[in-house]
Amino acid sequence: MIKSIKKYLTIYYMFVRSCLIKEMERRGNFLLMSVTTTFLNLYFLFYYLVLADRMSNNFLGWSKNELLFFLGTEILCHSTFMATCFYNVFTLPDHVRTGSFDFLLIKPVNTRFLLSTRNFNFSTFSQILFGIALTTYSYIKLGFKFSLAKLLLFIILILNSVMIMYLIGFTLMCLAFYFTKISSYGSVLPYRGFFAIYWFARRPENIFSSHVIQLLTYICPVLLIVNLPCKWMIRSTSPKTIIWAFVFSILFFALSHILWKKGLQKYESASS
Amino acid sequence: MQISKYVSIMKVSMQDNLEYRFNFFTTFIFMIAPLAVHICLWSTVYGVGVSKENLSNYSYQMMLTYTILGHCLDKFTGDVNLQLRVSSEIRDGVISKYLLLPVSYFNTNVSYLITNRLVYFVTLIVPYLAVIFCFRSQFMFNTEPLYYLVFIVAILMAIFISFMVNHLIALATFWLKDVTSLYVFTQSTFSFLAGGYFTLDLLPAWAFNLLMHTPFPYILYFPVAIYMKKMNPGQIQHYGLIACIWIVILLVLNAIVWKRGVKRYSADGM
Repeated sequence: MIKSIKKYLTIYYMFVRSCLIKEMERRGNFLLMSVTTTFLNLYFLFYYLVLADRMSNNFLGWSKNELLFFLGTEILCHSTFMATCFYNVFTLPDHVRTGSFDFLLIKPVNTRFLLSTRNFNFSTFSQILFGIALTTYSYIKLGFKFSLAKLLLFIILILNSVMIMYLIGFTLMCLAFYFTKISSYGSVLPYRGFFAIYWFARRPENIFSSHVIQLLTYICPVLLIVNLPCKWMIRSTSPKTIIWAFVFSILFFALSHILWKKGLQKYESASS
Repeated sequence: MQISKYVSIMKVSMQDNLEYRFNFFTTFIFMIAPLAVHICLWSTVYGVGVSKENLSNYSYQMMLTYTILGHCLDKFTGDVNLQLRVSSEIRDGVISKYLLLPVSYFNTNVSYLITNRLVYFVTLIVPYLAVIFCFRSQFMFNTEPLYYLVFIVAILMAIFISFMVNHLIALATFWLKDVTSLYVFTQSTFSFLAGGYFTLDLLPAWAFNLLMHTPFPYILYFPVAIYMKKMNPGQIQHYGLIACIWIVILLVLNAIVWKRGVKRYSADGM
């Protein structure tokens, strides 16, 4: 078991290293991507500042600094997902459509691991730094005291959010095995489906009615992404919800794995 | 200029677009999510009794109308694939054939744009009318036919401005080789500056006035403001003139950049 974990960690290190070398070969593109993606966050920053300003520093019970902390948390979840998972999971429909999935199947490693970790995007690091700066600034401005335990659980909750985002993306991609129409469009449809779901996660939960909040926390729990880590740090949240977030990840992982395994049985290859 | 050859291009493009009806429809289904979130946001904001003076005198009805129409125009006026397609055609050397054929590359893309927007319009009009029907008691209906006429002209200008800005950025591939890294950035920037995130009336006056001298508000904010009668005839004329000036500027810029770009072009991949 330990040997196996060590082997996969080494492989992951090699993947990350090769991606870094590739990025450094195109430094211009890397810098351009870093700058442009950070700019996108400035629009959202401006959006929240305008909303807070227009509503006398009280946007549905959220002050300006609370909104900034929320945005910082959203950027951290989103950019970590973009760095680690995005360029991996969304390649599946194209692999299925072109038949290049065969080459993944014959490699002597777990195919799901290979598909989910092969690419690492360094250009989102500037966004992660922006997210850290924004959360730190707003946290200090809100007058909270530093607590290592609180910070550790915050980081774990963000990683759990990234895991849920990965599982949503991966499950949608697995549909390419079942519906050829989806794979014929490449990753376009699952990609749009993912961001349609993610839209419900990227605004403070107070914009929804209490029934919808319950629905989006327990039945279709997109509010476990972004909202939960944010609430843990600057507002109150029940331990029940935190436990549910981890239980949900485990259940969702198991469900996605069943879909993946059944999908593999349906895979017929193409163009080969 | 012989129109008939471009009509032929449009016919072929129409068949091509109709192949992807399913894609257009699913686009709407997935694009409804941000609209739903925005409607929830404004419903709750107005539900807790925020004074409309704080929101540039926008009543709930006005904000809802802006949100639905703005969302619709955001999807309708911008051809999201244009930038990627033109960029890859330059990069892969596909444009070589346009240098030999007796057709202009720009006019060919305009032909594609017309058919693409027609199919988009036919596919999306029903779902958006359904959304408006669902909110018919809150949606603002303009009863003056003249405003509808000006609204339609403004939409046509919006489509053309959006097309030319995207085309111009795609032509940068002659120098940068790969502009795909700019794609997400430019789409979000246009959406933000055009009023896709929120109505530009919420911005401070200086920012609003500055933006109205750029081409972006004419892609979204301007047509919606006309529909909602946020502008008087004098303002419509004034801003309409600025939009026309931008169309001329963008046409000239596209022609200049194309000419210079072709001189640099080395037909890679051929």
